[in-house]
Amino acid sequence: MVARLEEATGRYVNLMVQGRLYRIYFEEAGRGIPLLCLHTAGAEGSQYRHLLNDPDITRNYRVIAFDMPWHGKSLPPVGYHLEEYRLTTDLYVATIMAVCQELELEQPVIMGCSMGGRIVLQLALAHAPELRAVIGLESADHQEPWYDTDWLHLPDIHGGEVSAALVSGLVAPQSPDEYRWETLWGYQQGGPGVFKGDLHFYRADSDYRDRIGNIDTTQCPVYLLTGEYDYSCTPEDTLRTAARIKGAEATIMEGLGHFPMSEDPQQFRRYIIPILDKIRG
Amino acid sequence: MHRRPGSRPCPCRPIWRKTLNWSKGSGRAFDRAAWPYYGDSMGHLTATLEELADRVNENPGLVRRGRFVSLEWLLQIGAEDHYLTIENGRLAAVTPGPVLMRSSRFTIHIEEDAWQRFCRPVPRPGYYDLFGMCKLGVARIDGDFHPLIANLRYFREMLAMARLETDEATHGS
Repeated sequence: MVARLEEATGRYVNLMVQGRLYRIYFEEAGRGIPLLCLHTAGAEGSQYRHLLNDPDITRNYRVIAFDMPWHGKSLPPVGYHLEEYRLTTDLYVATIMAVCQELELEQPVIMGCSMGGRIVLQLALAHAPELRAVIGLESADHQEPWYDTDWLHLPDIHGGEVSAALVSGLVAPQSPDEYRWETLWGYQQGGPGVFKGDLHFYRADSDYRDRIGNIDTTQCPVYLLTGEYDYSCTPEDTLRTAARIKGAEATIMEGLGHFPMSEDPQQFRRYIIPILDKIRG
Repeated sequence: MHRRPGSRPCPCRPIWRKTLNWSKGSGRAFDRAAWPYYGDSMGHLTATLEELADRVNENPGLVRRGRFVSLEWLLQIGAEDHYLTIENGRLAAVTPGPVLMRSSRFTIHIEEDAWQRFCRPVPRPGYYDLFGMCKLGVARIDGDFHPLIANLRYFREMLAMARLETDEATHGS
């Protein structure tokens, strides 16, 4: 096999968020419109590696995917061992906007999946003038929980194993095994309590039903795409959300589940490239 | 009992084991009359679950994954009960129920129609996963969740082995 260097490069950026220093890892490829990608809860930015290596995307977009603090190669803050990690809307927004500022991303498109798909709604609401558009994958203003997150962080149950097993049913049956298991690997290697800490944001601090009607899509267009096999954020959740945002566009993706960009990249690009072309204008 | 490394094997029901232990391929017939509390719901789901046991036991990866699991759980498909006995990852026995006063660590109840949909080679959205069916309200889990959650990949993959390879036949009753 011939070795092949990918176009994507990985670097670290040190930045302050809410008075704490974070060392954040990010990968990027391409040039053009900044496209900042947000991973799902309990996972990492490598979920977007296929976009980073897609010349049809990187030709016009500077694709950037970073690991949230506590995830992947981004460290938790100093003193993490003394606290319980619990992501909030405020911390999540502050982290994303700090990354945008430090990397000097002008008018970026922000695309997030699952919890990333949730936070882009808040970004569209609170930071519309600074953004070119948001794309919410598996995105909704609220959704009903389907398991007790306490099971994710116990001394006698392997957190990575149980996290991966729980989300494995959210991958569509048609998705290639290679990418199914790569997606699950991200969950299997998560830090203790991190998935649960992300879900604090998702379950307890991000019910946006009372506010998303105020999103101005003439200022910040909103695109929502959800896989038909996602029973966590269901197509109905997404369609209901889109119906509340005047001007939002919603697409239900066939043969995809909760992790479209990583579980079946070929199928996903059929849906995402037309959206990116439209945003580019 | 959920076995942990170094623990003793589960001493579950020696009388039952002696009477009803079923092992496909052993040439030993299942003696229904030998068990006085055996119910009347013997259906062709039993054959499906016997085949499931074969598939599980012939899959060394799955058996290895469940090597710390020794317990009995109850699978309810519609009105049919089956106790599934796991011994060190092997599906050692499938016992049709109901059986009076017999306990199990946990119960997975799936509506009959949902089970049929789950068993399709490529299930439709909502019917591909146990938890998805629970969210839909067509399946339910009761009892001690700990061994199920601690070995969730094992039990999910076991259930998925009941899935048909082609769309020509249907499983269950």
